[in-house]
Formats: sequence, C-alpha cells, structure tokens
Amino acid sequence: MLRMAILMTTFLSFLYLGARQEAPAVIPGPHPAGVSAVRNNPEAEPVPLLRGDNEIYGLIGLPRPRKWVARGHAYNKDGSKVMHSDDPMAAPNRNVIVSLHPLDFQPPLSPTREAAITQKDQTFLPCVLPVTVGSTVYFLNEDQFVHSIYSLTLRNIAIGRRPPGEVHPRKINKPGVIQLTCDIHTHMRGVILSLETPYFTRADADGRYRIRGLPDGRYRMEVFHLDAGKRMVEVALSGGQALRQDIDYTKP
Amino acid sequence: MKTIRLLTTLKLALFPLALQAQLELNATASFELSRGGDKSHYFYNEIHEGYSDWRFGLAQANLMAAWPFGGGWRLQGRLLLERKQGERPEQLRLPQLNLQWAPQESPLRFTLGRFLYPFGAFNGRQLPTERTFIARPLAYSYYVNISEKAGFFPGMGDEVKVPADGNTLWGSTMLYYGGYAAGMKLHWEIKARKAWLDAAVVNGAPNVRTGLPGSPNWGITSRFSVQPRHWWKQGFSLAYGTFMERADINAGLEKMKAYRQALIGTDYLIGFGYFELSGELIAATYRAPQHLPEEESFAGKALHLKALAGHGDIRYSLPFLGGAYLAYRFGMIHFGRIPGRTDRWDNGIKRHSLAAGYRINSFLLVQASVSTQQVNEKQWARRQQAFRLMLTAFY
Repeated sequence: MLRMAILMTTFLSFLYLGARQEAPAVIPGPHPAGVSAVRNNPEAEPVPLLRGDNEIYGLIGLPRPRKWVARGHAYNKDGSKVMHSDDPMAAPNRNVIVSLHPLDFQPPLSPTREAAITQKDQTFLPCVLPVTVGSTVYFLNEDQFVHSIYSLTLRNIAIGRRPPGEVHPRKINKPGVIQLTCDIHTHMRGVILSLETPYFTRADADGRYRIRGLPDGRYRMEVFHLDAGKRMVEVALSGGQALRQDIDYTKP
Repeated sequence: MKTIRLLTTLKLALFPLALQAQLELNATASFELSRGGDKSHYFYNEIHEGYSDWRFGLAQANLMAAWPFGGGWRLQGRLLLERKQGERPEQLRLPQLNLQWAPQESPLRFTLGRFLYPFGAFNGRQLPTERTFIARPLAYSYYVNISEKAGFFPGMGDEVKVPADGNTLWGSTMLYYGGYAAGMKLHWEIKARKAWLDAAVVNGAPNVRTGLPGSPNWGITSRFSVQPRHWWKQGFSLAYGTFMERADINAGLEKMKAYRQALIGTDYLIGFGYFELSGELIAATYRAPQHLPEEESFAGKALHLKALAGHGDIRYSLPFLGGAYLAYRFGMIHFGRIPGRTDRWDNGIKRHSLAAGYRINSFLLVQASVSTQQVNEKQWARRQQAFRLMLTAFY
C-alpha cells in the first residue's frame, strides 16, 4: 500500500511538473492593452502589407436560422439550464467571415492585432474569430467559474482550468478551421478561422460586407458561416474596380 | 362537452408554440472490448461471469430528445439500450421522460415525470461521454445482500441463488445504477451561480431499481450544492424511502412500508490547471427484513444494517494533447456487522482503477480503463481485475 502511494505520488509529481513546464505564461491582470477593446470590436483585422485600389462588396444571403430538428446542446443534463450569451457575437449570423485568397500572388502576412476570444455566460465570444496564420490569440475567462479550452483540430491548444480574469495567449500556427470547446461545459463551441490572407472581414447582421485595398489579380473568395459551412467562388479584380459579389446560403 | 372545449382551446393555444419549437436530438453508441479476471461477476466488477474472456460488442446506446415548446416548457426523454446484467444488449429502457417548466427570470424549475435522481454527483454522469471511467463507482454498481423482494440474505447472488418470480435475486445497488426516479422535482438556484437546492418526491428509496408506476413505494430526496470558490464545488445529499416490492417470496411479509433505506452523502469537485479532483462519500442505513430460506419465511424482527461507500478521482488533462486525459480512482465499500453477530453483512471491497481517454474528433471518444480490486476475506480477492476499451460515437 505504501509502495503504491509512493509510486502514485511520484507519478503525479511528474505530471504536475510536466504541466508547469508546458503551461503558458499567464499574463497577470489587468488585461493586456486593447484586449477588452477587441472583445467589443471583433472586427479588428491585420493591416495588409500589400494594398491595391480594388474593392469587393456584396450581400451574403444568410442561412435560415431554424430547423425543425437540431443537435441538442447538452447530454444528460436533465434540462439543467445551459447558459448562452445574448451578445450579438454569439449569434451565428454575426459570425459570417468573408475572405479573399489571392491566386496570382502571395501577400505578406502580418499578425492580427489583439485577437481575443472570451468565455462569458458559457459562450465563446465571438464564436468565430478570423485571424491570419501566425497570430497570437488571447483567451479570457469572464465568467465567475472556471473554464478550460481545448481544440480537436489544433491539439496544442489545451488550456487547463482557468480562474476568472486570467488571460492566456496561444500562437495559431496552422491555417484552417480550428474548433474550440470547453472540457467542463461541453455544449460550448467556438472557431478560430486561421487564414493565409490578410484580406478578410466580418459581414454585418444583414449580411453586407466590403473589403477595400485589394491588389489586381484573381482571388478565391471564401465565405464561412458557423453552421452552414463554407461557400467559395473565384473572382478577378483589376484597375480600381469595385465588384459586387453576392453569395446566397439560402440556395443550394 | 366541457372537456372537448378545454382540449380544443389547449390545442389552439399550443399549436403556434409547437410550430416555433425545435426538436433537439442527441445520440450515443458505445462499443466495448473487455476482459475480466476468472472470478468476474457482474455485481462485483460489471463483467458478467460468462463473458470474462475477450469480448467485443455494443455495450450501450442512447437516443435523447428535448422539445422546448415555449413559455419555459420543455418535454424531454432518453431511450436506452443496454446489456441486461452484463449479458447481451437487449434491455430497452426509458430512463428519462419528463415535462419541465422553468419560468423565465425565475430561479425555480419544476419537473414532473421520470428524471435524473438528485442525489450525489455521479448521477449527472450517466452517459459514457460524461464519464471519466467506464465503470460506475461501487455505490452504484455493487449489488449488496439486500433485495427489494427477499430483503436481507447473506451471500445473495454469489454464494446462494435466491429464486423469486422466475429470476435469481442479486440484491440491489446502494443507489439505483440507472440514476433515475419518477416523481416531482424542484430545482432552486438560491444564489446565482453559487448555491442550488434540488428536492424531489419520488416513487421509492434510492436503491429501488424499477422506479416505474406500479412499484408502490415512496421516497424523498434532496441535494444542496454550493460553489464556495470558483475552483470548488461541494454537494450534500439526503434520501429516504421505502424499497420492498411485493412478490411471491415475501407473500407472508406484512407492513412492507416499514422497511426503509436512508442515505446521506457528500461530494466535491475541485479543478485547477490540468487537474480535477472529485469524489463522493455515502453512508447508508437499512431497515430490512431478514429472509430465512430454510423456513421459507422471514425473521420476526427487522435488521438495522449500515454501509459506507466512497470514491476519489484524480483526472489530469494532457496539456500537450487537447482532448486527452489520464485518471486514477480509489473506490471502496464497507459494511457494518449483522446485529448480534460478529460477521459483516456483505463483502467489503477496495478497488483501484486507472483510465485514459481521448476525444478523437467532435463525435468520437475512446476510453480505456483497468481495475483491480480486493474483496474482503476471499481467496480469489485479486481475480476480479477488469480491462475495458470503449469507443463511443455521439451526436
């Protein structure tokens, strides 16, 4: 019994030390300058290092929000209250990201400034955060209880239980859709959209978008919606053109 | 005529709500590869004695539906297919079917029907996706020598087969392993995100298995839980009720409602960094009739029997591999002496378990566990080890 206790203690000590070494540097409060501002202004985007004089704008026909049948929010919770924020950034239709991916040139990328995702009312806010690949995302906990974060698509995002107010930075070094969840509140879901382009924006609640400063060339235009997924179309811009490109999710 | 009018009015009132409602569905299916020691027994280590060699198959499947139809009303249910006492997956149950009303902006919630039994912390972890370990804690899985039909009988199930109504009696778990009961429940959030109270009137003591109408038992239960710090939750539970069920074997037994079970328990959850510590301690007392099979009757005087069960878990989430964890559990169940005798009324057990889990993607979870246990005063004490590997698909 004693031998078992010693073995277990040694094993746990190793795990604890391992965790300490792996744990991110916690930025002590107050939050880094601008993080709160970013939370309220999730439109913050990188400044494109290569700019042109074309622009693209249009309307995204937003998907119908309700279906008769949907995946439930929680398993076996006996109808326990599942919190969900009323913040507009929790609404799927405020999380439509439009991005333009150059096909004729490789634009230099700058990290998205002050990119942050907070956990509030058991909700990731915003529930979709677009960043350029290589950016650092700050994770906040604004609830009065612990949250954790881990990603099934980028396994090195595994932030343990964090008390309210703590901020943890993580570098996003892989492009694509990075899904986030909380180990404690399994109904929570969020997405980091890690993009290899500096040309992107968030559509407004009515589905309108506009991206300015685009250099001449051909682009793959991608639209991402949290529930409805991705739509793609190829466009070409030149000579100070202002192109209207609508995408309608309501049509197949 | 009045009834028809009332029904029509209700239908007209509810129809627009039903049109807006969205049916929420979830489902799970768990496949298990297992092997147990040669002294495996379902009520000792959850591996049936006939399946102690390597075995692979469906262990459990669930279909869950919730229908929030407006005004704070919600109808929800869970259909469960599971192995019957560890044998084949042919047991279909409806462990949850209830109507719930949660008035807006109110700290109260009312539930009527068959619902999650508000005692302890484990009942909220009935699904494989919610569990750290595949097996249940001993309080929820070990069948003690008290049956709802035969009362107390030493060695029930393993040493002596007690037949009743065409089945062999195995005794009953300290808390019904399914974790549900039928009745009425109140949930009250006393202080927002800090303190909660659940109280329920149900159809039996915590060990009552069937819990369906027809079992003429009653029970009351209550759970008070607090979150003193953001990293600490503590729960306190009480339950009391009757558990005897009329059967041929107890035809001569009078005053069935005089036999009762009482439980008191506390549970905790502490989370910090990559660690989570959780556990539960439950004390049980029974007032049970003593079955005398030689005389095919019961002793004149009821017995007061006591037991204590508990477990402590340590779970560690791997910081370099999101969705993966390692865990250790120590569990035990201990029984008091039979009044007037020196022997205990059932075999105490100490169990050590290790587990690992990995969430492969958003709909697949793989878990593995090994356990070894020591049964008091048994030569075969260490031949009830168990290995389990479970793959759960969930929607």
